[in-house]
Amino acid sequence: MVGKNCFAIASDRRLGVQLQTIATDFQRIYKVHDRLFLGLSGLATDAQTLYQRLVFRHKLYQLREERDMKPETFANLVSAILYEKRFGPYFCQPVIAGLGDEDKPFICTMDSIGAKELAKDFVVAGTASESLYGACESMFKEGMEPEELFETVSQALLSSVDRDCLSGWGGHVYVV
Amino acid sequence: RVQFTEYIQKNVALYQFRNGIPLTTAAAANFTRGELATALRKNPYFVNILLAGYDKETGPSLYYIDYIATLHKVDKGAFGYGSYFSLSMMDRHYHSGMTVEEAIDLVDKCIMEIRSRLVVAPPNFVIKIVDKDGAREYAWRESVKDAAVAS
Repeated sequence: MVGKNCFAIASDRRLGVQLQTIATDFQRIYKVHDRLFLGLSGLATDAQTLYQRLVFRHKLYQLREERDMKPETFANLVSAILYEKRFGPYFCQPVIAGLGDEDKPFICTMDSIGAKELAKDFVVAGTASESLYGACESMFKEGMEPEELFETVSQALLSSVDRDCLSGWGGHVYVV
Repeated sequence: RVQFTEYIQKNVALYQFRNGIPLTTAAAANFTRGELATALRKNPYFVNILLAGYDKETGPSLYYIDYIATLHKVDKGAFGYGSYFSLSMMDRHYHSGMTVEEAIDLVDKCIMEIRSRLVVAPPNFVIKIVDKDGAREYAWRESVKDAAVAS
């Protein structure tokens, strides 16, 4: 979700195999660099593989260009990598959130074959995405400060995952 | 199953020879996951793994790796039909900093659960311990002594 010169990205903490919960401390949001975070929902193995590939590409970029990747560029990279596997896809939906030039927040999400969905206010992904859309839509306000943004994001996340049996067991929220 | 674990064993030993220091548990777990992930889209291995290791700096650790290469560091884990019962048992009785005796007691509780609740329960169990002195077989829990009897 986007605030005033800041963004928040949140996820639940459950790792499950169909109905069985394996762990309640699974990390789904990864830091790519200080101003760019990536959340990967969906199949855990593909999320881990995809994260490793993306970090690899980003590190190469950093070595070549001697600077961090802009969020828009990174989103295009993710989209390209996902579409490479068009006929044997990675079964995960990324959520990308970052601060671009002049601290302008950038968020986007994608489906598992890389179709980008840009938004100005919030993006959601995962099994509870429908209820997340509803909760975010009703709780979102323009230009929230970081503290208020944190509250809003947490409440939206908790109320949506409470209605979904495959999500839950707490949440991680990152505010930048 | 045996093929894959031997392959991993030999590669871990190779690393030790090549680089002069043994692999940490985390590194071995990530290596295993990588192998499973690469094979996943062509010729997947159907092996679920619980990888336990002891490192001098970080102490003991347990990694859960399932057959589609999901890796997660856990305090307690189980696979298979018996996992439904064992995980609940462990959720109830596990706390961090247990002694060896307490841990064996918990494992015995899980074995009793599996024996009583599972229709297809295996008769014999082996308990292994991994600590600073390495990995060793600790005990057998056998209810059928002669497993070679054909039925």
